[in-house]
Amino acid sequence: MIVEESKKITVTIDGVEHEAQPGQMLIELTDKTGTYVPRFCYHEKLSIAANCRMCLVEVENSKNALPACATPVSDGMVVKTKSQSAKTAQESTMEFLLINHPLDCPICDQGGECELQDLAYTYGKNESRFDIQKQTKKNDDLGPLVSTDMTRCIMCTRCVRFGTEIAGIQELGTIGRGEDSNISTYVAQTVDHELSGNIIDLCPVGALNNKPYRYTDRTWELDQIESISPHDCIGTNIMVHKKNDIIRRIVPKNNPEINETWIPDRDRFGFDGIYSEDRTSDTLIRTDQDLNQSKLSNAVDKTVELLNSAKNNDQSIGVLFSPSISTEEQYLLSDFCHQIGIESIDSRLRQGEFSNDIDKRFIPHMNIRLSDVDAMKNILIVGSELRKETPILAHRVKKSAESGASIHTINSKESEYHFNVQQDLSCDDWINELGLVLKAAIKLTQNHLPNNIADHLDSIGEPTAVHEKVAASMCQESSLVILGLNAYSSKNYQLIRSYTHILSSVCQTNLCELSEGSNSIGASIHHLLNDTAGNIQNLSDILHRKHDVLIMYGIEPNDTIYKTELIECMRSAKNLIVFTPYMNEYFEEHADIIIPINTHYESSGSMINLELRNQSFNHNQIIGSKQFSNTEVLMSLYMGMGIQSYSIEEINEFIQNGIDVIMNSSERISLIPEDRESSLAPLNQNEFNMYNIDNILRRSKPLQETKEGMKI
Amino acid sequence: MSKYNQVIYSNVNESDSWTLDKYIKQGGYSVWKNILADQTNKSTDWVIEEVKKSGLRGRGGAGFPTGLKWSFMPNNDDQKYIVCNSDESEPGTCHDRDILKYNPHALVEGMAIAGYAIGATVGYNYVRGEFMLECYPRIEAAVKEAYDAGLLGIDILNSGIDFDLHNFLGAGAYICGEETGLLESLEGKQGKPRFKPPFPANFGLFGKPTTVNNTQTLASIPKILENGPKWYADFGTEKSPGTLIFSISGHVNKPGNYELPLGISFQEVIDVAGGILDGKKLKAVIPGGSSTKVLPADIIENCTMDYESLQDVDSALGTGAMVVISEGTCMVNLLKRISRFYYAESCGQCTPCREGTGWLYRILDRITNGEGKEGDLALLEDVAGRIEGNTICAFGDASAWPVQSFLNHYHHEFEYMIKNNGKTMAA
Repeated sequence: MIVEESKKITVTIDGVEHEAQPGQMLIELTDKTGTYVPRFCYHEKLSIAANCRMCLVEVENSKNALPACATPVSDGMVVKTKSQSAKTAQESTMEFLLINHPLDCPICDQGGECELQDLAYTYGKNESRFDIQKQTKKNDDLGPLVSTDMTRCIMCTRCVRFGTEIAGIQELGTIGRGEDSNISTYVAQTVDHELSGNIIDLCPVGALNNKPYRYTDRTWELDQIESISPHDCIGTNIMVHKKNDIIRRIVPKNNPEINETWIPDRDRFGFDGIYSEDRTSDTLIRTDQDLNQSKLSNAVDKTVELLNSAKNNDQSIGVLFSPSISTEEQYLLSDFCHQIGIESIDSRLRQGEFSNDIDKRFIPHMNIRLSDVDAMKNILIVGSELRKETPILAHRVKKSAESGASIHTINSKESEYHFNVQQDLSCDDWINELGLVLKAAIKLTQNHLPNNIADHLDSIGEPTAVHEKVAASMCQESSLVILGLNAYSSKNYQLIRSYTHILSSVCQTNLCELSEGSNSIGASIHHLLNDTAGNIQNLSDILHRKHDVLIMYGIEPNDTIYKTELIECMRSAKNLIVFTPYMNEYFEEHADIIIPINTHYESSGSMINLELRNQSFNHNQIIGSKQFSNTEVLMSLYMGMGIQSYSIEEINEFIQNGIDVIMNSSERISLIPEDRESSLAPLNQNEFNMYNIDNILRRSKPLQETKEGMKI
Repeated sequence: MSKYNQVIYSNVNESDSWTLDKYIKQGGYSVWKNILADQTNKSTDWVIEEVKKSGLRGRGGAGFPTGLKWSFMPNNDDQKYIVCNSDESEPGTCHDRDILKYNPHALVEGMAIAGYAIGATVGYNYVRGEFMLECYPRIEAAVKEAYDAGLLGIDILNSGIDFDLHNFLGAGAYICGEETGLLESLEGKQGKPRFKPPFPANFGLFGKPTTVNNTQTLASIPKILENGPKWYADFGTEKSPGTLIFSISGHVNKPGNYELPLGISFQEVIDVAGGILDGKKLKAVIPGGSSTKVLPADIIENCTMDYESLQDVDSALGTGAMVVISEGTCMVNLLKRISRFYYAESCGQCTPCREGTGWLYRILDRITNGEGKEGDLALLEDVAGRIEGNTICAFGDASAWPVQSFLNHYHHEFEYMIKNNGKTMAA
């Protein structure tokens, strides 16, 4: 809100005059000007409750002390935050909070990072005047992620407001009255929201805690590393808390431009998967049917030998790699293949259709910032279970809906949203519905399009009022089309994508295309900068060939929607070389060489999120499965083949160039793909499971114990 | 007796006083019909002015001038609501119960007029849950009769005025008598008061401008407009015009509801109620519902019953629910009973009230059990002082004031009980 100069008002806080904005709450002003006022229920991302009464301050001409969180500033207001009457009010609240609070700080996980404990030092008494039996309260089982010790609860209701306002689905509420008030699910049930873990951070005391982390460490024993989460294309900022070089827990790092103070549960609890029992640290080579332990150098020599012989004999080599590893690794691997002439390389493991190559220049990304989504006025979500695919983006869309945006959806099935959907065109024939919206938009804007499109649209039927409504909405200002992962994995992906791009051009909307893994954009950089001939083979081609050498880097069969085809491809390959952090039955059976690599949480590098933000991370201090870093392993391949690799500095320059290329291209797909039967039948495309999308999450015990995890 | 039961209770002794026929025979709905017929002369401003002139003050306890409260409603196209607070739950208070039972049409007409004055086309009457069997059927029947007679609904009597009225039965919580707690409850939420600002006039029911008035206040409106503001005001004093229904309970011979002019002497009120029970001496009076401060006999006996007189002796007229206490009553046990009420009825959202009311009750409980400790009285006073003024709504004050005033006037009784292992000083 822009406030005119003349409307600025003056408020005196503890004797110092400050300029304030009308309508601002007192606590916002004290926070801004650096005067600390104690609080429990107030949280800047949540609505005001004013129930804890900790932030009471003295305001001149007011008989009673007033809560800074719920008192609007007014011109000439004189506030004393540390006067005797303010202090008495604050100390009174603290005494009341403590009378029924257990004295179990020594065994409470919150100890050391407890807002109540911290403030009790300043505002509490040394001895309690309450010599009556303290209360105890019943604990609800909220599931595998959040532990409850409700006797410690101070009823600030942050967790309840989080449910209503942020999660959008109220899983916790207050029940009972007076002293018997309690936070509960009411009917015994677990907390299942994809963002539920955030109530752990919001809880100012030890009532709601991190269940897997429970009773493991004292917080002051932990070191923290800033990092990026690898479980979706959002690039969520996290803090990795470690002890003795082992990750103990993950908490959000506030980044107002990306995830604000929230992280999805999979970013918080996913890391558990790196301590799975099937981690492998042994280099293995198959001799006489059995996999035998070997030195890394032997495995590298063997790999080089196989590659050389296949290359020289013009035999087939295929490479599949993970879209969720660092761009540096992806680039090194891609360039290695490029230099020795391997053209069959891909990381698009969940793309549903490869029949046309018209999309080569169009790397899925979004052309606005994540934080811009909040202010969008019209949003169309195509082929997405947004809450599961990208919980943080879904939260941004929810914010826009709450400030009045019209949200429309088209998907193969109805999903549960935490915001109001104006038009839901989801049905079995959803792709046609999208086509009809496009047709309505073309009519509405009187655009003249190439014959190819006009002919195609002639054959799909006529739009109805509903399609026209959605089209009209998209033609307004501040509109955005989101193309989700369900569309990406559809066997008609190319057609859906063309529709979406053309709709976006016709209506002049912003466009956001979700991509698989955490770094699909990084994976595309090498190809984008080097492929002039355009003859790189794709996943479909790779899976349908019998390879002399098949290399799998950082992936396993469960990572692709073509699991059966991949397993068959692994089986039929003469030599299967696997770079993996984990063992599994397929590798045991089919792999000829197994080279252990580190997971994301033990590597360093950078990743590019969907808004083309390049973020780096450094997990070098965290103990991995082995002593070599992934780039060192890749470098040894270069040496073995006798070729030169680019330095990390050079690669970083390429990455920046690649980002610039994508960013500067505003071109959109403008053709409808020609009909061509897809050669691959994607499996389970409708069963996107948010806790089964990569090899780490799949192995995280707490996530696998959730309702969503149990569905896998 | 001509000055008693003149306004709201003027018909309560008649048979079938609650029926539409009887109400109309006594001139009922004439004001409403006049307004509907002549909106030029009986404009909304005219209604508000007349009510202002009458000096009517809110009968829910706080005594805020009603006409002024109505004038706070924003003048815009927003949906507005008039809400009647029939959640009469202040201990000792029972006058709204008789209005709902014996004169429900006065409330219906009063709400319709109030709705007209503030621009509300919808009214809700929030009725105390415990009134489910006794009062609720009467007020429901009255609303139905009014609809059937065309006095409520859309385009009432071709006037172009709409007014719908709904009764709503609460679930029995004291806190829902607090106007914003009531609004929350009416919205289907837990009855937890909202912090103010914003006030209901700006952000009320469902977030829309709302005026909440007490049953007695609204039921007074038709008579005030029928007979003119001066007629009404002249019953009372300059600052406390009009009449008030006193709910007199405790140690009197004829406990009950009496509509009396404000400014009446305390002695006259006691006489109306038949004098002190068993010819005993008066010990104390809680003058306006259990949350107002107790007054010993020698103070209250010199008071007139109006807002200013009781305020001068550091108590309040409140709801006009007088609890009369005769000699021989143990003030410690009485306070414990009152404190237990507040402990049980706290909504639990604000820390001081949630934690403090239970603490107060438990200290009093141990004193009466003979386990009182030295220092308990200072602790009681201190804890009460730490609740007072520090909560979202006035409930915190309501729980603190009895403790403070009982200790102030009867400290010796508490001391005696602590020293004598729970033995009461009152014989």
